[in-house]
Amino acid sequence: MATIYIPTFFRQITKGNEYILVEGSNVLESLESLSYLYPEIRDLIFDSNKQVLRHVNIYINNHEIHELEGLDTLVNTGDQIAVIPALAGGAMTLSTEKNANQSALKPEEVMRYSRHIIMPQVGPQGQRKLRDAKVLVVGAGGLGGPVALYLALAGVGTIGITEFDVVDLSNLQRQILHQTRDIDKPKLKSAKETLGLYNPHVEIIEHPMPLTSDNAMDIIPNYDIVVNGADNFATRYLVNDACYLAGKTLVDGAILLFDGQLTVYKPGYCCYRCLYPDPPPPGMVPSCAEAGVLGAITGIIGSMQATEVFKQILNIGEPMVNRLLLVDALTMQFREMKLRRDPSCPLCGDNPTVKELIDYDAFCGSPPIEVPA
Amino acid sequence: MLRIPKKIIDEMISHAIDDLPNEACGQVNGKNNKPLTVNRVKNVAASPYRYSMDPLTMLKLEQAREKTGEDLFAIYHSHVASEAYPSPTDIRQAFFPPGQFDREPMFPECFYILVSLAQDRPEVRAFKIRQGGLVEEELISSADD
Repeated sequence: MATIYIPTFFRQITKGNEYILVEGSNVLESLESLSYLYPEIRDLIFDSNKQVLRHVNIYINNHEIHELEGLDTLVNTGDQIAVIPALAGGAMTLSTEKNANQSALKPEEVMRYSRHIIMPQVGPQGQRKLRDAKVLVVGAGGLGGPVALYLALAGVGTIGITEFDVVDLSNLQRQILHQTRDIDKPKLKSAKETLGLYNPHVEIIEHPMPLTSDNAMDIIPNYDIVVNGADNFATRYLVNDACYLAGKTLVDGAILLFDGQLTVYKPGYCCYRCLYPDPPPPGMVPSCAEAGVLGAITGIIGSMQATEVFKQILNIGEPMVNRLLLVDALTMQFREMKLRRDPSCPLCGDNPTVKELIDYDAFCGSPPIEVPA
Repeated sequence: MLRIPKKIIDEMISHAIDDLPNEACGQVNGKNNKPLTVNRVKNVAASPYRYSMDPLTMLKLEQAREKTGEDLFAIYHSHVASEAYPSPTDIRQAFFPPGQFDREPMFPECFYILVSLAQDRPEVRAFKIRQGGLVEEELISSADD
C-alpha cells in the first residue's frame, strides 16, 4: 500500500485529489492500480508497450525509479510515489542549433528594421529570413537601381549585381544609384558605394561582367532569387532559361516610354518563353536609348520588383506568378493579364528542346554585347 | 498588463547570466496573482538550446506551495542567443503529452516568461500559452513594494 502524489496538471483527472492510496507490490502495479481507478491517466503515463512515457518522471521517496529498479522497484507500505510531467523547452530545434549565434538580430538591426519587424507578416523571424536571403540583380541601371536600393534598405543580407557598364551622363535622368560625380565610373563601383552608404550591413557581391551563357550557370545557382533589370532581349532569354534550369524564381520587369511590365517566373509556371516563344525581329522593338523612357517608371516597376522579392523571401501574399501586370503611366491604369504555362514551351513544356543555355545573341539576331575596356 | 517587481525580473536575469552558456530555468511562486519568489531550478538538459527542469525540485516546490497556499505564477527560462519569444519547442512542451494541442496545456493560467540574452541588454517578455495559441502579456517592471 503506497501513496501516489498527483501533480496539479493530473488532478483534473483525479477529481482534485492530490494523494491517492494504491495497492501494489512494485511501482508498475501501483501505477496500474492508479490507472484502474482513473482510466484516463493510463495514456498520460504509459505508451502502448507499457513503458513510462519519455516525458514523465516517476519518483519513489524522492528517488527517480531508473536509479532504482525501474518499474520493478519494490513498494513498501508508507512509500510515496510521485508522477511528474516534464517541464521542458528550448530555444530551437536541433537542425538550426548551429546557426543560433548568427540568428539573433543585433539591437541596431532591430531598430533599423523596426518598421518592418513590427508588421506581423515580417516579425523578427522574417527579418532574419531577409538577412539570410541571397538575391541576384541583373544590371545596376534603371530597374536594378531601385530594386537593389530597396533590397539593401530592407536588410537583404547578400545582394549580387551583374553590371559591366560605366556611368554615362544620359543615365542620370533615371538611375538612382549613380550621381553626377560618378560619370565614367564603373556602374558596379558606384552602385556598391551608394548601397553601402544606405546600409553598411548588406554584402554586395560584384559580378563585373555581362551575364552570358558561359558564366550564368556559375553565378545564378549561388542565389535564392534573381531579379531582371536587363535592357536587351538576348539577356532576357538567357536569364529566363538559366533561372529555369537552375530552379530559381525570376522577378521580371520591363520598361519603355511610359509603360512598364511586371511578372514573376517560377519553375512549373509560365516562363518568359511561354509568353514570347520567339524574340522580335532585330530592330523592331526600340530600346530605351532609341525611344526614350520615363525616369519615374523605373522607380514604379523597380519598387514592385523589390516588393515581389520580399513576398518570395517571406512567403507572404500572392506572388505575381502566372500574372502579367501592364502599367501605363500616361493613363495611370494598371491592367493584369492571366498567364499560364505553355505545354509546348521549348524550355518548360512537356517535351522541352532547350535543355542547356544557347547562343542568345544569335537567337535574337543581336550584335554581341560590347564590354567597355 | 502584467506588473512584476523589478527585483523579481532582476533575479531571473541574474540566473540567466549565471547559467551561461546554458539555458536557465525556474519557477516564480505567487499568491493572489502577485509574484513573490523566484526559485531557480536546475536545467538537467544543461544545454544552450534546451531546458528540462529537475523533476525532484519541481516536486518539492509544488509540495511546498501546497503547504503555503501559494501557486505557480510563472515558469521562466532563458534563450541565450535568440529572442525572448517562445520557440515552437517551448510551445509544444507546454502541452502534455508534448504537442498534444487538442487538449488544454499543462498550465493554462501560468505565465511563461522568457529572458533573452541575445542582445547586450537582456530582454524579458511574458506569455500565456493556451490551447488556442500564444498570448503575449505586456510586462511592466514595477517599483519594489
